[in-house]
Amino acid sequence: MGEKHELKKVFRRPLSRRDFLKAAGGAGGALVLGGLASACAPAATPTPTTAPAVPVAAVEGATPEERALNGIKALKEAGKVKDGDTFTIMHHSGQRNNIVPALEEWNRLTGLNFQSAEVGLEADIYTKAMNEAVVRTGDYDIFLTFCNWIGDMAEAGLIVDQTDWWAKYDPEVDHGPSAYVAPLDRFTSLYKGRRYALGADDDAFSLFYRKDIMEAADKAAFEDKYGRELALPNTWEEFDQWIEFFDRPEEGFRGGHMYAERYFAYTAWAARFISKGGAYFDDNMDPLIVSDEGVTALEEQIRLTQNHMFEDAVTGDWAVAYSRFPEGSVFFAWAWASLGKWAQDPETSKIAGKVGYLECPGTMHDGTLIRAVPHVVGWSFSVSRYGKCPEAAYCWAQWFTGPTVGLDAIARVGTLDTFRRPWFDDEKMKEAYGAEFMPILLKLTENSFADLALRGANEYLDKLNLNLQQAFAGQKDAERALRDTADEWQKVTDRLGRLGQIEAWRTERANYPQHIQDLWKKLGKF
Amino acid sequence: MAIKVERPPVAGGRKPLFPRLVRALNRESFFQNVLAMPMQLLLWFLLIIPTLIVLYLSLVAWEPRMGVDWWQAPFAWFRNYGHVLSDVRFWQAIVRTIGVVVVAVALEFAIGLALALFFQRDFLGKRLFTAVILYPMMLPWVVVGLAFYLLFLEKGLVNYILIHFLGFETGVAWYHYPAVALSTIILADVWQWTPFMFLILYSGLGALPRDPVEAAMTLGASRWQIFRYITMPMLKQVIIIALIIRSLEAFKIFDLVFIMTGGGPGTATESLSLYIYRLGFVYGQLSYAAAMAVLILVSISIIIRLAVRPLEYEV
Repeated sequence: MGEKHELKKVFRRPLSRRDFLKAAGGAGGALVLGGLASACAPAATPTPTTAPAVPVAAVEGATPEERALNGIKALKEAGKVKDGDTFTIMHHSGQRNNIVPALEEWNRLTGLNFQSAEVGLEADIYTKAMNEAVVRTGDYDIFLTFCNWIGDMAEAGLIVDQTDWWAKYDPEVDHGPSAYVAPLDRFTSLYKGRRYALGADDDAFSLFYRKDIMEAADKAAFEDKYGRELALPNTWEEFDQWIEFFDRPEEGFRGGHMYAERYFAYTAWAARFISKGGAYFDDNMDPLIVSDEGVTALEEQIRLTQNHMFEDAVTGDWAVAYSRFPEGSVFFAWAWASLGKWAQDPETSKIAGKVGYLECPGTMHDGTLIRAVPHVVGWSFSVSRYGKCPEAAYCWAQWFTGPTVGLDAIARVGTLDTFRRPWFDDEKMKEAYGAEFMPILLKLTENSFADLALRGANEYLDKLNLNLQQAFAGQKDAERALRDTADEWQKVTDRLGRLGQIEAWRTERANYPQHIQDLWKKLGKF
Repeated sequence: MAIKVERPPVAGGRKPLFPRLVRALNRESFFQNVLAMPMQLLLWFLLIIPTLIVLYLSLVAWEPRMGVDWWQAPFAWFRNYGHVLSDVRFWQAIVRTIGVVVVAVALEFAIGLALALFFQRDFLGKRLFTAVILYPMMLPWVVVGLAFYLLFLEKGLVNYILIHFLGFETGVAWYHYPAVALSTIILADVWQWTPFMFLILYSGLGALPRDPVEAAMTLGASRWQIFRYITMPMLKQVIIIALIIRSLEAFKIFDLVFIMTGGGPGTATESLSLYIYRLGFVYGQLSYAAAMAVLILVSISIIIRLAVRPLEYEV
């Protein structure tokens, strides 16, 4: 009786704060979880990665630009887009000057409203894109990203396979008089044999040196020391001697600047490694970097870095090359093609007019010189599955990268560099880059190989960079750095699924320049 | 004995359809609770739901690039936690981060206490100096990180001073050697957060009663004895609070490391937060990062619980 009475009292009393919190918490939780479940559950898993089925029929138009514009007309007629529809392009702020003026023209021609969404840090683009893969806001229609991120974006179901659109609209990437320079036509767009992106850039690493110092050098002294005439180096061995000869630490002037830092430490090593006949993996995705080619290449590069470079080659970032070389404190530097523009501009450089260019050194194999140039970054357009009208977004990318529109856009100062073959002979580009540089850049591009572009490319490269930087800083020897990398790569491969990675790698290695593939065959690698 | 309240009959003599509901609506507390409800729901959205999602993620094997949605990912149960505990880089990051916390917070406390004691007396320009001391704390982490990064560059101001004023032949490669690189990060942290210690200890000292000190002085106690046996014990609670807040903050150190060394060379200066960030946003291993974050949360909660115990007994 008393117990019953007490119970009644409890029910009748006004709710205390604690009681309310309990009740509100329970109710709120149920509400929220219910809402969350209803919000999340119905969304379809983006497993299909191909473009929406479209009849494969060429769109009318003489050029890629015309076909893209006609595509928009057709989409409007079909009611898929209408005047004023807004599309958003996520890109790096360094491309503002390339993209924004073109956007205005495109909007005028199509009546659509394409707008730019700039991101200040390159790495943030990856983060934001992968976030979009999860939350699917549809806020972005097009991504301009590193071309080796397309594996992750495709596997996450974020971007649309463009292969059918390529057939329908023909962006003239791999054929015709305006084709991209091979192998850019392949590795800037392909993942597992399908076209997931449209390349908008050429990031073959370029090599610059002080022509004035080389011309004024004591040629006899060089000949006495190395037993050959002073000339631009063709092999890595000659290159090391060349850098050593011009290294004058007592004058605060060093032989070179090559990235050995946190994010691009792999570049110089990879150039040597691949030219020696190395490959990142075998056909079962077992790493091949702990090999004679890998270890020798790293030992050579460590020697060069530790003996003939400033320490900020190891501790700085990518921008150090853009201060060291133009300020005149190093004889040689390698970076993206834009360093040439930077060093030749009297406003940003003390060495304008004194810059020389050279091809990437290589390795002799039975009398044949094999050059391998790292292609680092390479911006490519990919289209979001969750955008308003992915096909219209694709049409923009095709129009922007077209032979005529692209020429104007890429010639403007920005971080996108020339990629179609005829542009290398165009006066606008010669003016932008320097006439002397264009034939060299063309050769560099033809010999270029892409960054690892597998699913998890960021992780593979980051682990490689971490270990290489430690080797350059003297914390690990070459073999241990590569062995640690190989061990970590194995774990990544197993985690992401070895079979899928094998499929991706086998198609990826077919994107390497033909002379490197021939060398691999000759060495019995593949 | 309960008092039965006779309610007046409803107008028109009709009984309410849901008498309990009507009674509940008539309660005085109901309106208050309705007002509080939106905030409660917001709290659920902002705090509880994300925490539950993190917990869930930590129990599945999921990465965005797997091509399945997170709620469809296969359960890994505690496998992620097992991997975390056997992850050498995780333990290295833990040890490194604890090292930074211990050294940086100890320095901040020592300098902050010394300054707070010094500022107890009056001197010319005291207000101005107080403002100047507090200035670093008001700066964003990013600005401090960038400023110190530039200071310790090979061609930075510190090396310039070493070479041109202190007779060094060459500058120091501050970011080249792990211990040296870590010390630059600690220095930046100390510079920015000593003012926080100073502020709390200065306020604490100012609020202490004067009577015990004056009594001790009358009895002939030395300054050291007064500090050791009267001031410090009375300041103990303030000190504990200051150390806990600062240690928690320092344990999360990210910006300074990210900007100044990027965790390098290699992973030699990588903090725990930076490692979790890399796992989640560079490597895309969100489930694994979630498991790591949960482990850290639990560990920190236990440590903080133990740390505040002395306060509970004394309050």
